[in-house]
Amino acid sequence: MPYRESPMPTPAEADDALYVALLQVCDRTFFTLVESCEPSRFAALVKSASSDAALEDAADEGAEPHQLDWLTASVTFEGTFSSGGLEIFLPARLARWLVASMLGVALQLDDGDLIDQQQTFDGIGEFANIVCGSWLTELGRNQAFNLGTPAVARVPAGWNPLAEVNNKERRQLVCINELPMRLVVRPAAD
Amino acid sequence: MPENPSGVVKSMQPVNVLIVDDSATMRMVIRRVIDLAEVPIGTVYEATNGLEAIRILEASSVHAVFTDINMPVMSGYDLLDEMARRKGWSDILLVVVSTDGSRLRREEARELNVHAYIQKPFRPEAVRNALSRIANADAR
Repeated sequence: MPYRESPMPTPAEADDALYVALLQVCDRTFFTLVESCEPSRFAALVKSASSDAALEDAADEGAEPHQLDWLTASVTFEGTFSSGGLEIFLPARLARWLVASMLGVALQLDDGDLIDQQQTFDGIGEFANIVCGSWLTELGRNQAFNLGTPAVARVPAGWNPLAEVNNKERRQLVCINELPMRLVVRPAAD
Repeated sequence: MPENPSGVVKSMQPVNVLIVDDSATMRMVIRRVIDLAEVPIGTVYEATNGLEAIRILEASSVHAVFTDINMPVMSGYDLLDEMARRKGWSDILLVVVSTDGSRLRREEARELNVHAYIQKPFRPEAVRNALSRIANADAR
């Protein structure tokens, strides 16, 4: 018997489902809590998570664009009701802490050596993969989807965590352990 | 086969397990959880995709496979499909561990004789319980 098609989720429903998925993933796999974040608090957390030099360079229009020590983990998806990509931006030390938490390694936020870059990239790619899969499952219970292989990289020089998104994208600002995380959902190009 | 009050088999043969996932981190997590299961574990093999898994299955004695679905080179469903075709592999216990929790995927897995379907994110006890349950069922 064919499945009944779920009604197309509204953007607000999609946002709520993404937040719920993030909460569940962080609780079950990363054993940590996520808080939703107002833009002003997010900006303050970005400032406290960045070095003074990075902020000074960012404020100086004549300086070379500074590269923040942030990572981006992205996953593309193809579903019955929607296709596009989910991109997660977070400070590298939060990424290391999350991966350590997943592996059951006791790690302070500033311990950089216990989790190497390869482990961090692999683990945070899996984080994005699980968040995206949980979100799509939450959105359309009966509808299967396909996920691309996660891609993880350092953010490009000059990238700004506070930048607005365009009117086709959806943005969520959250924090974990007083460190900022930004999620952006992009629809597939027409 | 005698069981203790919790229903866990104590005197069964060690279970050789194959974990198939393209994420090394997830393989490590599953491996740690499996090590905590109240089931005697023998050798734990790892593969990063379905093709690697088939090579290990051809060369080794494996009793249980924990596989992801979305993987490069060869997906988990292609692996399960291939396993269903091979004589001698029908007794291997199959567990899917996937981010896709849709009913359609679960039914597809059931048609491929999957014994348990665990959706990521999972709590550690979900993997442990699946291994104990299928090991108990297999022992009866």
